[in-house]
Amino acid sequence: MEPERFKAPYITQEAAWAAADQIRALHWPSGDLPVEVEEILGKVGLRLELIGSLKKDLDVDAWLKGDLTRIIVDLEDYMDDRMQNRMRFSIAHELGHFILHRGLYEKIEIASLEDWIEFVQVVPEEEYSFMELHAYEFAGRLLVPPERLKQEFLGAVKKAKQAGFKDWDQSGDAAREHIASSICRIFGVSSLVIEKRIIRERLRLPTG
Amino acid sequence: MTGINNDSFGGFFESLRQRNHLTLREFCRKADADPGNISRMERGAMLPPKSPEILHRYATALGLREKSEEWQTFFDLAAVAQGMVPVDLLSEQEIVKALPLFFRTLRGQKPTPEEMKRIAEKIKKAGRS
Repeated sequence: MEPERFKAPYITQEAAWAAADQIRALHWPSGDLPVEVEEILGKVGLRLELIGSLKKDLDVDAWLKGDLTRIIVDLEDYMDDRMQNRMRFSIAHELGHFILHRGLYEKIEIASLEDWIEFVQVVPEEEYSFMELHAYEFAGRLLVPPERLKQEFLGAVKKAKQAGFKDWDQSGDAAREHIASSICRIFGVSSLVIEKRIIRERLRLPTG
Repeated sequence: MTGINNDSFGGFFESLRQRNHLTLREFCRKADADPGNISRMERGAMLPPKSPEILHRYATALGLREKSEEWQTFFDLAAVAQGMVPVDLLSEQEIVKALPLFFRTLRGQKPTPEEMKRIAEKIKKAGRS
C-alpha cells in the first residue's frame, strides 16, 4: 500500500458506536461503572505492556503495537491515581483502533524503520485524522453507555432545578460543563469526555 | 488448570493475574512489586527474581495456595526461566512489529521523524516482546 494513497476506511459514527456497544455487551456484561477496559483487553486477545517515561521523553501516552498483540502505555501515568481517567480513555482509544482497524493494520506492510517513518509522515493528514476520530468515538461510547449517560444527565438536571437553578438559556456552555463535572466520576472519565458525549448523544438542557 | 497458560513463567504469571481480575497496577500494589519489571517479566523480557521470599510474595498475591499444584508449577517455571539466557536488545524486525501505525503526540500532532526515531530507540531498550 502506497502511504500517500492511503485511505481511511469509511466508518460512520454510528458504526463505531455499534462496535463499542457490542464489545461492552459481550465483554463487560455486568454493566458496572466505570467500564474497566483493561479487563476487556484480555478477553479480545490483547495485553498491556508498560514502558517508563513514554510521556516525558516522547510526548505519547499509549499506542497499539503494529502487530496487534499489545497496547503499550506510559508506566508513570498508569501507576498514578490522578491519571486513571485519562489512562482508561487512552486504553479504550487504542482498543478502538484494534476493533475498528484490525483488517487495515494487517494489510499495511512495514519492513524497516525507514518504511515506518515514511508511512506515518506521508499518510495524508485528513486520512490520519479519520482514523483517530473513529477510535475516539469508539472510546467515548464504550466508557459512557448512552442509557446511563441519559439517566445521570437527567438526574443532574433535576438536582440543579431543585436547587433553584433557572438560568439555562443564559448560562451557555457553563450549565453543560457543570452537569458534566458532576457526573463524570461515575463513568471514570474526564468532564470533557462527558461534555462531548452529551453533545454527541444530543441530550438537551432545559430551556427557560 | 483450564485456561491457564503454563508454557512459560511470564505467560503463567499473567494468566494467573488475569484469572484473579488483577490489573498490573493492582497486582504491583498488592505485592509491592515494580510495575516495569512485572510487565517485562510477563512478556519474557526479564527473568523472574531469584529470591524465594519475593517469589513467595508474588505467588501469594496471585492467590495461589501453598503446596497446591499451581504453587508448585509457579516455582518450577520460575526455576526453569532463571536458567535461561537473559534477553538482549531487539532486532530491527522485532522493533518494527512493536511500533504504532496511527498515533498522535499529546499535543495532538503527528510525531516528527526525530521523535519517531526516539520511539524506536525506546522500544529497542524496553526489550523483547
